[in-house]
Amino acid sequence: MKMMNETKMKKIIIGENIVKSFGVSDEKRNVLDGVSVEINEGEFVSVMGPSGSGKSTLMFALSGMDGVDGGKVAFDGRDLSGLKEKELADLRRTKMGFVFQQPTLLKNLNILDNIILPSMRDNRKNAAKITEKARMLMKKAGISELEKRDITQVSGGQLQRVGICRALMSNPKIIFGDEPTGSLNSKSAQEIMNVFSEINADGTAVMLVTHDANVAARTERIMFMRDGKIVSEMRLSKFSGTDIDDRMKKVTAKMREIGI
Amino acid sequence: MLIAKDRYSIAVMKAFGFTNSDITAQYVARSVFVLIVGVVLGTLLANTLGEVLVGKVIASFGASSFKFVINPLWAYLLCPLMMVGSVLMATMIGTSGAGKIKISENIKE
Repeated sequence: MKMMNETKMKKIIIGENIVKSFGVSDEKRNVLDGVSVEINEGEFVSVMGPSGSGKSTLMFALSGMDGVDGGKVAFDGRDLSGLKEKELADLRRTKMGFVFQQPTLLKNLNILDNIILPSMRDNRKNAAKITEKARMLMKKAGISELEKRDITQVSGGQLQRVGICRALMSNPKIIFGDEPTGSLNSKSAQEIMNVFSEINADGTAVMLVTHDANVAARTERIMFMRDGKIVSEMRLSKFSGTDIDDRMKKVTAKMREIGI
Repeated sequence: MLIAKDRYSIAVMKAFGFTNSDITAQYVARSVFVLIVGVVLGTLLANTLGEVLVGKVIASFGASSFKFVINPLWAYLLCPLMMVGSVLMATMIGTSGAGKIKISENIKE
């Protein structure tokens, strides 16, 4: 039954044999060394691996923020290598959401303006609607009271919620998170993961890059990377909110098995 | 120089879907705003304090009858237009590097 559902699901990202190198001539190193990956609509995926394994680079390649040196990446049926800078920017703005480890907010804007900025680019005439939507998302994320504050006046966990609200403004098909809980304490990290679970439950695909087994254990498919390759993959059931210990055991056992 | 200090903000804006031309447009808007303020203030001050101040300096050399002779075409049209042109050109050249800023290199953890 699960197999049937998976085949019916539309693939939003298809990466085939992706190669990405850094360095010059003789000292070139393949940070991604022939990685193939598919992500379906509505999936909750994580990519785990030690520092330097290529997991963030993979995220940047799949989202079109970085070009690739070999292989192919298709997003929503469009080959990213054939798109111009403006088309890639449009795609990122309208179909993808991003949350990074650091909040990546602009210091000279208040919280509300940071959230609405990307959406305002295309739709200034609908400013009232955009603001209303931002307020609705802020309410859902529990940060309604912060809209007029500067980004220096709120906590790290709250800033990540702001980043998530901004990412959701365009109703993206997928949210990419690069170590989104990496700079948070465990309580805030858990709260942020709950927000990601809610987003995913609403039908948005989520792909998280992490080295934290606690984060990965809350997702439904984990890809393990080492030295620029996906070395293993595991599937978990939907996170119920109470089975974290059991899931953690499975993830850490898998990590031991593959030696990462 | 113009974009060096803003590399991070530019990378953030690009990550969230702003194009290189959006970023250039933003810098042009800022420069033009400063230019307009400068031209207006400059013209006002030249027509008020300017003649008095320069007159005093010239008077110290013994010529007390100094006054500005304004060519309206040059003072109010051609000079401001030349300034607009050079500011636009300088801003475009200064921000041409925005396209080379790689998102990943500037915001990767």
